Amino acid sequence: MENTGIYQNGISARQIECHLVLEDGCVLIYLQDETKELLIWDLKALDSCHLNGSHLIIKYGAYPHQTLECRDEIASIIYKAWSGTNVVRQVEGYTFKSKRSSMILLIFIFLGLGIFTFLYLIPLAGEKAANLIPVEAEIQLGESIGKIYMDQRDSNDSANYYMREFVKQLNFDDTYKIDVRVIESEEINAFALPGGKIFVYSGIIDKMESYEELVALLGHEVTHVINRHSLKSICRSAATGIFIATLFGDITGISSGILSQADKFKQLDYSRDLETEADNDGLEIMMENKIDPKGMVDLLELLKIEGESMSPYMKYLSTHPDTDARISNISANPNAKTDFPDNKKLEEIFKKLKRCI
Amino acid sequence: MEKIQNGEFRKLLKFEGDHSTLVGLRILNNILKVITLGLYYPWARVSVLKYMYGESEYMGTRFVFHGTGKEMFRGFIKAVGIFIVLYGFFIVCLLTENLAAMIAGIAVFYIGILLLIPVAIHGSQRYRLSRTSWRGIHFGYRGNLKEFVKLFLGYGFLTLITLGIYGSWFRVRMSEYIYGNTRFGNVEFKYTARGVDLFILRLTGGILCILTLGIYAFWYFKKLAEFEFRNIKAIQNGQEINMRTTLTAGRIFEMIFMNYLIIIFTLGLGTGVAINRFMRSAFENIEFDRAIDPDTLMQTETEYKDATGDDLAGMLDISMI
Repeated sequence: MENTGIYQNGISARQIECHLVLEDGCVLIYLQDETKELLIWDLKALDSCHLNGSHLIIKYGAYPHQTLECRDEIASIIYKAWSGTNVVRQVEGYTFKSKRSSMILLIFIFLGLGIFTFLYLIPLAGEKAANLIPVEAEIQLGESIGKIYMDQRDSNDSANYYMREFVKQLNFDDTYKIDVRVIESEEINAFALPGGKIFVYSGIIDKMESYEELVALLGHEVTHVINRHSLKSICRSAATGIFIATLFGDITGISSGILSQADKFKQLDYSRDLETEADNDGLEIMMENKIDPKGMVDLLELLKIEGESMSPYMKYLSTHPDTDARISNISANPNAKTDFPDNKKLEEIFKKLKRCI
Repeated sequence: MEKIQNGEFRKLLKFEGDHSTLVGLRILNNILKVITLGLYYPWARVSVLKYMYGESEYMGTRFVFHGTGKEMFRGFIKAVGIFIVLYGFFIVCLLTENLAAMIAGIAVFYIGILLLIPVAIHGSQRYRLSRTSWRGIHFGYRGNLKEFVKLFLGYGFLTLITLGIYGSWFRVRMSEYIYGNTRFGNVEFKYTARGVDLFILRLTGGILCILTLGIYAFWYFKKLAEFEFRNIKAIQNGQEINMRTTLTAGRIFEMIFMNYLIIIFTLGLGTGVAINRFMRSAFENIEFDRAIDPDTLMQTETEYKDATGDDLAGMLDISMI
């Protein structure tokens, strides 16, 4: 194979073909013009040596530099000799030589890491950040949201009285002061705010047939409070929001819009996980209070009947998992079969509560 | 060597960049910038410039960018220093809560930024051109900083008091000065446009864009590009080299539209692909009526290594050719 290259003297743009030989750490350049001159460049004295794909550019001497360009085999032989044991030069040479393949690999690694960060790391970081928020602040937040909410709603004082009596009979974790209010509404719903406030709609109490169902509902909502589910959700979406904004904020609103939508679906997934957790821990609370766990299944059956009117699309977007899945999850729990004697006191309060609705 | 008959236009430029390399390079640069808290910025800039110049070919030979991360870093530190002083003075003045001091602070800040623009353009031209070569021959910029700042502020002031009408003349005067002082070895350049022509072009373009609800914009861009290339001349051994662009409005539309989609649907990761596409169509459409004669192209320019102006231009987001 011919070891040829192109030499430029730095004075004119004339390109002179040359033969190249590498010997004793020097490049011998045999010019193929009328002068037939031989130039000897010591590899240690090169100004720079830059490999771009299979193309090597060597600069030599002071400004204006003389340059030598060559390709393929001779290019890598010279580069190898020049880099010697210098690791930085070797790595640089490798990356520039196989630029394309290393860049494609890099793109995939980056995409993989990006997706991993977006799906797991950032939400996890948000969740961990939620743990740093003191309980007092959480309670205060819940109080202020609760106050705004209550101002717009009618509350049923006598129902609230019996609800308080009902809750007094139950034992919950005492990190938070659990405060349950009944809201006048036909809707079948209940929700918990951070810090211990729980709102139960009169509609759902009306449909309940046993006090066990109400305990199941309270167990479920109390789990949301104790496990700080709302706070975690808020922190997760805030963390992802900040991540999206820093990454794509200055490129285009549409890109970040697409990502935010993806994030919403992810949030739905997360909220379904939290619901399942609340079902399971709610069941535990029932066990601790020696209440027949069948109440949880009955409650879910009630939600199922009421949810049947929902369109399939709405079910897909629902923050709660499919009710059938929830029922089979609870039924599969070994504790669900446990039998407890009836709690007369709770039953009595429950009846009085129902009468006020 | 390619010989061209007089008056016959030929394509001599080519851009050979490939998508994956530039996309990868940009990602790598961004990761390194994040890891080093932004300190990698100068090296990132150099790596992209080296790549872009290295993939640009004229008459079969690629351009070389000689700038180094070290030079850019020195310039970067100086540029950051200038900004810190400006902002520092501004903040100190505001903190005094004295009305006169506050007004002085604001005035100095804005005048400072205004002065930095021509300084950045000048410095960037000097550095970029000096660090670019083709077949070993370096480009160069011989403009004088004082002269350029005076011109910039003078014409800038006229533009301001004429509510922008003088802007076309301002733009032409600046290009005249910059091209007039640009060298490529012993090749000189000149910019032959007239302010009034640019003004008419802009005025009719603007009106037609409004009347056609923006659709005319692609033809307007085409006309602007044609205007620009028609007026840049290179002169070697007393002979003029003319340029022109063959870009069509359809091509411009396709380029803008597709690049926009690429950037959005790759969430910005594909910006490198968009840049490559832009460079390719721009280069493919430039034609020359004469080639530079490499045998009589001689080295004439001195070396200039201060990258402060170029870094300032990067920070102020001024992009020059």
